[in-house]
Amino acid sequence: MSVNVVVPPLGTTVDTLTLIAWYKQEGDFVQKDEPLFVVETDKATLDVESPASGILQKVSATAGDSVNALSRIAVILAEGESLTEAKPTLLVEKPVATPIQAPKPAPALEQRKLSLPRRIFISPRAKRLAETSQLAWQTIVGTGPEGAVVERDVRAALSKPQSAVTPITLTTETDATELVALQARLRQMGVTVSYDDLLLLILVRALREHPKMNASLEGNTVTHWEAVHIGMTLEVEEDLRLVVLRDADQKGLKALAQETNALKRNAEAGNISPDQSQGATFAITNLGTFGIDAFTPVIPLPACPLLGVGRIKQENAGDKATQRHNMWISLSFDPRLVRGVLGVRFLQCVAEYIETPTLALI
Amino acid sequence: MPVMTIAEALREGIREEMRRDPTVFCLGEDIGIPGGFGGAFTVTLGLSDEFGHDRILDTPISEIGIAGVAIGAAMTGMRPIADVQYGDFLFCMMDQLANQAAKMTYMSGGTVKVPLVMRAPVGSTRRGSQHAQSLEAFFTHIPGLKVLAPSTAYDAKGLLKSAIRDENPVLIFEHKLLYGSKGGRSEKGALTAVGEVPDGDYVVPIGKGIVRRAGKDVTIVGKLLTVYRALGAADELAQEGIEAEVIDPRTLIPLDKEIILESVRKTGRLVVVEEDNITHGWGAEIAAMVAEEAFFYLDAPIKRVAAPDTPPPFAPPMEEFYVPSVARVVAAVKSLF
Amino acid sequence: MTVATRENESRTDLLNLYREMLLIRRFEERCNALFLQGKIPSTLHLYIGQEAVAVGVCAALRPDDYVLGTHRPHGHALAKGVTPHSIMAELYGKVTGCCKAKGGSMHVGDMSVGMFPAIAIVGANAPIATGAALSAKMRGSGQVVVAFFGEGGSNEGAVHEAMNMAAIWRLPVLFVCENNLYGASTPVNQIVAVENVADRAVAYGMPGVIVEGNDVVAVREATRTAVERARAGEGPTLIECKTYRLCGHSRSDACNYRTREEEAEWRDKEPLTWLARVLIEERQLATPSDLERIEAEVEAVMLEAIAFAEESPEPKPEDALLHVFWEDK
Repeated sequence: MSVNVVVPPLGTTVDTLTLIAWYKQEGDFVQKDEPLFVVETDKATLDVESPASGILQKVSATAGDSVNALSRIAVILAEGESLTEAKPTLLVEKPVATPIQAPKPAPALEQRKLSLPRRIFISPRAKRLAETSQLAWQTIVGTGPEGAVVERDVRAALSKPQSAVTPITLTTETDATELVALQARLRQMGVTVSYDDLLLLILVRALREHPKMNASLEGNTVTHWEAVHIGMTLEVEEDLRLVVLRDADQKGLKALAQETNALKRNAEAGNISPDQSQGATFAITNLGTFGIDAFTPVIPLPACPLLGVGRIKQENAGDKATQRHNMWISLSFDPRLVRGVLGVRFLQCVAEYIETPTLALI
Repeated sequence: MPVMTIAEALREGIREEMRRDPTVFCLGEDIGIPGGFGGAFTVTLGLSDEFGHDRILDTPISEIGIAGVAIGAAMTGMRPIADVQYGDFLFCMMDQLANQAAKMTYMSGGTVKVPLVMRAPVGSTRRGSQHAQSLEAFFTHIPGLKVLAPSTAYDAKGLLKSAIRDENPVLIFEHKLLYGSKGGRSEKGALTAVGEVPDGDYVVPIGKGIVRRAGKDVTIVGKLLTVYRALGAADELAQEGIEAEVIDPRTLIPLDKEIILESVRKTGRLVVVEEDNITHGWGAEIAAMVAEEAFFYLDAPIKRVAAPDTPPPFAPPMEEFYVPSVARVVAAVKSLF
Repeated sequence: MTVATRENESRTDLLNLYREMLLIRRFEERCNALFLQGKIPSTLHLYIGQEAVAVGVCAALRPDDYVLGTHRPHGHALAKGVTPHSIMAELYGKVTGCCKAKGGSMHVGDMSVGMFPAIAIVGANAPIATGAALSAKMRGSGQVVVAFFGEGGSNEGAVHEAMNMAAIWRLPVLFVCENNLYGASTPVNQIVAVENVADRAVAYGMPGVIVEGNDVVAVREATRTAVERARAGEGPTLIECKTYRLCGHSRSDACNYRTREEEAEWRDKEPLTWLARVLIEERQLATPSDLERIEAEVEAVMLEAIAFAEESPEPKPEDALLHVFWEDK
């Protein structure tokens, strides 16, 4: 099975990175976790490890290129596997990040000199502080000797609240048998909706019951919103993009389905308005369509809660009486935004609607 | 409380110990000759008047002999204090110190003790290369020797008394610019390291360092003269808002590691200042110790300010270049921010 | 050259001297054999052939007098009264050794019987002996100190400094030069320009005495004279004992720097043969069976010492950390 080499979403403010150099050339054998290429964000230069062992192929970006986070820039083929029979699959072991922001004009890049990757230095004291504070220090700009990140830099970063807190992720397995049945029944009735559309409806219903979940955090400010704007990740030309479906709570199932399709078309056409890319009060990302069972959704900025949806798996397919469909869902949120117990109740609520989806139609 | 120079404080310490314990005696070159110097830096001046020439024993110019005699006497019930005119002459007696004094207790399986004290002046003072070296690091590398480096009059007397009462060979390094010797034996460029010294008996325990100045931003460790260089640097740095903590270990072996580690854990930065030349030096040992035991508290590289790897030069401009200055300490500290 | 007056010695006295020399001889021979069997990990400098010096000197000393040995110290230590058990255990590297396995062959000693831990740096023991003598004088203890060294060691600066200081302060110390003709492989006539090492004594202002070093009685007589002088506050003496090392310098020495003829000549006048000739032939104070009885006694002592060493425990590896300082108990 081939594995895509994807640009990781490293920056906190941009999703366009510069590919500084490849450590390997097309046709080279690479080991899993071996440094494969180096990218530069607006703050740091980082090595990216190979997601799998195999032969590097289909390299589509060269040193100096601007590349988008989550875009595929190469493929790793298993030994003996040929390019034609390869069916790229997104391999997700570690958390897959949702895109951070809608595309915006790439920052004017200065003429960049290609140079050897620069290591990021951090003092032992600063690193210790960052680790005990669970702060990702790789993106901090150092002000110490030789540009090293020193204690004061970590303390400055910690005083910015969003970087200091680890999101909470709750995960549960749901019985999606009814959901699958509902979608089939609706199709028989001539109503074509996707699971995503049904899940959107469920989400809106759950948010109505738990309005405190419809919130976002910017800086130190928590805002609970009346309007429900759902951020969704869509696959666009092998990239994942965040689009926003506004006022989702005002729309019925059919309208939701139509608007989602329109957003998809606009996104593919590169025709997304700012309104359609910003201001999510809750987000959903479905990697089930990529065959992913379960994953840790990464919260977009500005931070709002995020529901991750995995693949619907069929069990006992041969036996009508006992066949079931299961689906993993995950909820990630900033603990300053949502208290943990509320998150638990909300996820239970979503799970109940998935298991009895007709309730959401009422 | 009386105010004394280091030379006077040492003399008082010797006097009190010789009165207290009849096995204590001094030996060395030119230490008790009537009309002489009282040692190269006046420490024993006048003591032969009270104790006579049997206990303030003038020796031939025989450094091996001085060391060996002190060892033999110490192994058989006496407590000699050997005076070395210049620390550089310790090289003449290296076998006696390194192979004999230091190893005797060990290779006898702990059945023999060698309670001797050897006092040696160090420091670059316009005498050229052979009367100027700072030798502390050599002797800290010899297991079995205790090594002291008092930088104040109070510590000089208190540590000397501890050394005399210790059951092991103890080397005391004294800095020529800190003695405060008077008259014909006064030194150009000497510091006024006078200080209050209590009358009568007190000891400064071996193995305990002292914080000479408290601060939160950087730890500066110095010994002997460089304690004062560090304090001078701390004054200047304070004007720029950097609060330096100055630590004087006072005892080099056994080293008060904890006082240094505790300070570095607080400040996250370390500068070691020494007059010895830099390579394989004492500063390297302090740096390595901190890197091993407090690495995760460091917020900047460890810096050493030391003499370059040359013999001590003679001409004053070169000597001033050679001995670590306040300005060099300040610059080293600033490079860590 | 002093001449011993043998007529005064009793049978018991001479047989005791014989026994002490034989103990050293058999001890060293056993060491050699045990080394070859791999029982003794220590390197060895054997005293075979020089027994009359150590025994003769120590026979003139009080128990509380001090002796400072060299890198070839087993003879000095046995003669001063360190037990063969504790020396053998030390050579085996056992905790019951006289230095608790910290010293090995070259540092055997026991201060409780006046034997300093032997000092294996050539000549370095002389100034320490002078210091011990200064101490004895200052404490008024009446003790005398002996420093042994070879004709090789006599050229060390430390020895000259020590002799000068001992002389100027009139200290109770004897500098005993065991001139065995070779410093390791180097013959004495290449390293000493004067005919006798003792000739140098005049330069320090002390008596220099030359003695037939394989004649234990002669050595004792010369030592007695020097000891009396020292205890009387008249200062040090340099005694040169002419002797010969019958074995190699160390275990690995094949002695290719000297002739077999020379060795045979000295073997004929080695200390035990010499004293046996006096006892049996010259003065007829003993019979061969007396010497055989002593041989058996010494053999019994040796077997005990070896058994003691064999049965004693090894040190723990981490015992290496002990005794760096006096308080590290």
